[in-house]
Formats: sequence, structure tokens, C-alpha cells
Amino acid sequence: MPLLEAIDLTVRYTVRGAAGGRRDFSALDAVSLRVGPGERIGLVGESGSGKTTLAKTLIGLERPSSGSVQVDGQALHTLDAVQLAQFRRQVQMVFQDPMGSLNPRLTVGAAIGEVLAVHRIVARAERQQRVADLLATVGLDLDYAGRYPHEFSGGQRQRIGIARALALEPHLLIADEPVSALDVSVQAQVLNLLSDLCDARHMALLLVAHDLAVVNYVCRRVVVMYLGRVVESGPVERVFGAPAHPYTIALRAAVPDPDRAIAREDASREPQPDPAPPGEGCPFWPRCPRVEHRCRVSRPDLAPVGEGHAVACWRLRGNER
Amino acid sequence: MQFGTPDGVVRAVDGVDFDLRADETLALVGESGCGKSVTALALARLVAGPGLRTSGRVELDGHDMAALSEHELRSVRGGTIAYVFQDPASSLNPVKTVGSQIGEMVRLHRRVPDVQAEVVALMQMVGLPDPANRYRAFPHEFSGGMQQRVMIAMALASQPRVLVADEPTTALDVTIQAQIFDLLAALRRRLHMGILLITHNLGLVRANAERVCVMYAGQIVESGPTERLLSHPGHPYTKGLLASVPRVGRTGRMPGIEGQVPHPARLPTGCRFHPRCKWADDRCRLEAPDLDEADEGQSVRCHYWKQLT
Repeated sequence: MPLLEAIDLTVRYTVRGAAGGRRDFSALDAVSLRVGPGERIGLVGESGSGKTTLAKTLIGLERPSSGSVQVDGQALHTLDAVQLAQFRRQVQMVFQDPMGSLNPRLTVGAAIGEVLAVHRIVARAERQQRVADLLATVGLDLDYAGRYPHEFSGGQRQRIGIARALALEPHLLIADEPVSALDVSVQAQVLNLLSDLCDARHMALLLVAHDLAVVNYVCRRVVVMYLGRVVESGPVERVFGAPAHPYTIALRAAVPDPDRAIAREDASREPQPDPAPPGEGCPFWPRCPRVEHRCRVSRPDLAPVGEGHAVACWRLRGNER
Repeated sequence: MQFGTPDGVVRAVDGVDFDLRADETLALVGESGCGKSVTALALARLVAGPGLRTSGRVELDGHDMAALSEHELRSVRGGTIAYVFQDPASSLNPVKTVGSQIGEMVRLHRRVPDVQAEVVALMQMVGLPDPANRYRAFPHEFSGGMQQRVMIAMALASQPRVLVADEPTTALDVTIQAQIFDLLAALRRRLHMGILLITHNLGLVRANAERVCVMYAGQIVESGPTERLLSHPGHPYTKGLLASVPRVGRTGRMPGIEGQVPHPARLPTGCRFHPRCKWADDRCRLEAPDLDEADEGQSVRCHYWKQLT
């Protein structure tokens, strides 16, 4: 049984347009995702692709307009308070900006201890020891417990955020852009830490990132999103080795690589359009270098193209309509 | 450049030498705290602060900047030397239209008969769509990539000789990053500017800079032509930095650099990188290496670079 499953998740907002009129816009459009125990999934896409909305909906911070999130066979929004508290222990989140998610007036020890106190999982007497263990787990010294967030570097703060999430021994950790604010050499340290923690605790990980390159070191499976829809998903080697969707190809080509001069796909040079509903067509057609007539009029669904590999693109479907 | 701080005297930048030519991009690469941004600000004497002590000089087109009056400096700042920073949203005034903000820069640095026409031309040059109408739009009506284009238009309003781009795409998506670098390259050729690119990502350097200086703890530890430096990195720090760039299609453990950048008030003795260097020995702990000239214009600050390459 999956740890957590999203079924046809749609999140719609009403926004005021430039002309004063209102329009509906789907941050998530019929997204399905299964996270199994111990599984590591990378969720990639540009800003506005809906990846953060998906992460927030999965932990119940956003209510879906339709579709549902299933936990142990039960819909997340039907859980009662006791069940919800238990769910929160199972699923924890780490955010992009560790400074913005730590209370500047609490010492690091107090910030981690607070989590233990709220969920009443460790007796008061043992709390300090537990905080020390958690700090050691993420590679920080015990004497850091008495310091405040501003006394740490970005990488250390991200470790603190991870320690705080681990305090509840979650089965699934959702990390939203955990390294995009960090220096490259520190990124490696934090990603390796996440990898080790998943191994040691048999913890599942949903890693949200706009940079494809950080995902393949940590994750086995990757889901590519564009304007609220999943456009490609599959094993990391397949999706990055032989990307099938024109958007994945463009995204892959845009990653700066010190080993090759440059070979960018044309789509990466086109500005991302306003996230307006692109009519009936494929959301990517305005930027797609291989657009055909059917792409403008009809939206392709995800269809399998290989073992565990699915792509939403008409080009890969022959002449079927 | 030295600062007096509660922790003691901090030498943020220590003996940094480089030159930048017209129609060339020089990358200054290093991690947070290495002194790359302070170096960039110092070019236009934009660094102030209690206990600041500086030595060394900056020459612009052969003229010593120290000889300039405060009035002359004002036309250099944001004029001859223009800056584009990391986060466009916090650099733009949220309550003024983008047209008026670009226009302000035009008025400040140049005399043109029709400011609005000039602004529209600048917006066109940086690829902002529909400039005649978007002229009246506010910053929040633009995406991050488009806001950065507005910042570039403002920087170009003064027809600068030098454009300092300090992590110009760190806050942007990778696809938008590619677009911004395409734009900078085209503008550089057209306007014959020198670009000083400040970044922590060596991955960006390959396609976007002719020469590179790698900084660590306030010093240049390695410099040279991009192709040479990336194919034959001499300094262990450069090697580590290059290995840390995440690559698509790699799996397993990610190579990084162990340890952390030293606090600038508590620099290690000898080579500043020795506590993080796996090749360090007693000589590295005691004796500070000089920047040593290697082949093909490359220089390396390491006692053992010959053995390591």
C-alpha cells in the first residue's frame, strides 16, 4: 500500500485579471502521484508549474478543489483531529528558506524541543538528550543547541530544518527546494545527508526542485510538471537519459554544465507564458518547437512509453486521436 | 579591504588583482563570504562602514578612480560601472512604474531629447514585450525573469563601459537563466561592454565567460582562461568546486567539499584552504602560498599544484 497517494488532484484559484475581470486558474490539474514506503521521488518544473502547490496539498496545507489525497486508504480531508496529528508525525516538510521557517527568537535547541513537546512523544526529562541526538544526526555539534538561527550559515540552518522535521520520525519527508539557496559545495553536503537519512531510516522522500541536476543524485523516480500538469514521469535514468517530452528536453538542456559549452533547446529561449488556461490544447504548445495542429486543439493525457515511464505528448502517440 | 568588527579586524578582500577588457566577460567565482561581492562593489567605491581601511587601486580606462571627486564618482556609480543584482524584486521600487524607473536612470546619466522614447528603446533592447504599453506597468506585474530584464535595462540606461552582474540569475529558473545569459551576451557584443560576472556556480562559467578568477577567503586562488581552467583545474578548491556542480544524468553520492568556509576574523595559518584540503601537509599549515604562474595564462595559489595536475 502506498504511504500517500494523490488521485486526480486539482487546485483551482479565482484570480483577478488585468482588465478587472475574474478568471479561474488551475494551479494543479488532475495530478496523480503515489509515494511508496522508502521511495524517493523528484518533483521538477519551473516556478508556476504547481510543484509547491502539490507538496502543500499533499500535507493538507491546501484543500483540493477536486480529487483527493489518500492516507492509509482514507481521504486526508476526512481525518479527525487525532488522526490528523498522527498524519503530521508521519509526513514532515522542509522548506527552501531555512531562515524564514525558524523562529529567530528561539534557540535551535528550543525550536527542535518544541516539536517534541507539541506532539508529546518524548518525556520532558529526555527531551534534551533527544535534541542532542537529532543535532548529531544532521552533523551539528551539541553546543549549537543554545545558539540562535542567525548565528548559523545557510547550510547549517538547512540542517536544523531537517533535524526539526526528523524529530517526529516521519515515514515521508517532503523537501521543497532544500538546496537552491545554498552554495554548490554545501548543496552536495545537504543532498548527501538527505540520501543517508533516507537509507538509514527507510524514509520516503519527495524532493521538489527546479534544477534537474540535483534530483538524480538522490531520487530513483522523477515527475516533471508544467503549468499544473504532469508532463512526464518515470525512472531517473530514463527521464534524464532519454527525455521524451519536449519540455523535459528543454529543461535538461538549460542546466548549465561545466563539461560542455552549450547546446540549448529552442524552447528554453521562449518566455514562459502567462499561466492562463491554454484552451483545450497541450499546456506546452506555445513554447514547443515541435508543435502540430492537434497539440493546439486537444490535450494529451499521460500515456506509457516504456517500463514505468509515461509522457503526455501527442508526438509520441503516432496518429491516434 | 579591512573592516573593524566586534569579532576583530576582518580582511574581506586581500590582494586581489584582475583586469577586464572591453567586450569580454570575466567571472569571479566563489562561495558566500569569499569576498567576491565586496570586490565588485569596491570597483565603484561603493563600500563604506565603520573601521573600513582599504589599499590598492582601481583604474578605469587608464584613469585612477581614487583621483575622482565625489561628483565625478556619482557619474561612475551606476553610470560607467553599472550593476545588476541577484534579486530584482527587492531592487525595484514597487510603487513606481517600470518606465519611470528606467527613465530616472536615463535622466540621471544622459541628456536625451525624448526620455520616454529612449526608455521604450531600452525595453525593446532587453526583450521586454510590448514596451509602449508595458512602460506603465508596475514591477509586480512582471515575472522574475522579466523583472531582471527591467534591471538590465536600468543598468544599460547610462551606456556603461562595465556591467557588474552579481549572481544575476540565482533567483531564476534554469530556462530563464539561459535566456538572461543569451541577452547579456548579445548586449555585450552590441555595446562593447566588459562584464564582470559574479557567481558561485562554475557550471555557468563555461558558456558565459572567457576568463575566470576563483576566490577563496578573500584571495584569488586560481585564475586563467575558462577552457584551460575548467579542463586543468590546478587548485584543490577549484577541483572541489568543479566536482560539486550538479550534473544531469549522474547518480550516487554527490561530490562536495568537506568542512566550511573559515570565519574571516579567524583565518587559518598558512594556506587558507588547508583545513578542507585532503592533500594538505605541514608546509600548507605553516607557509602561505603565492599565486604561481602556470601555463597558458593560468595562475594557481597552491604549493603542490604541479604534482596535483
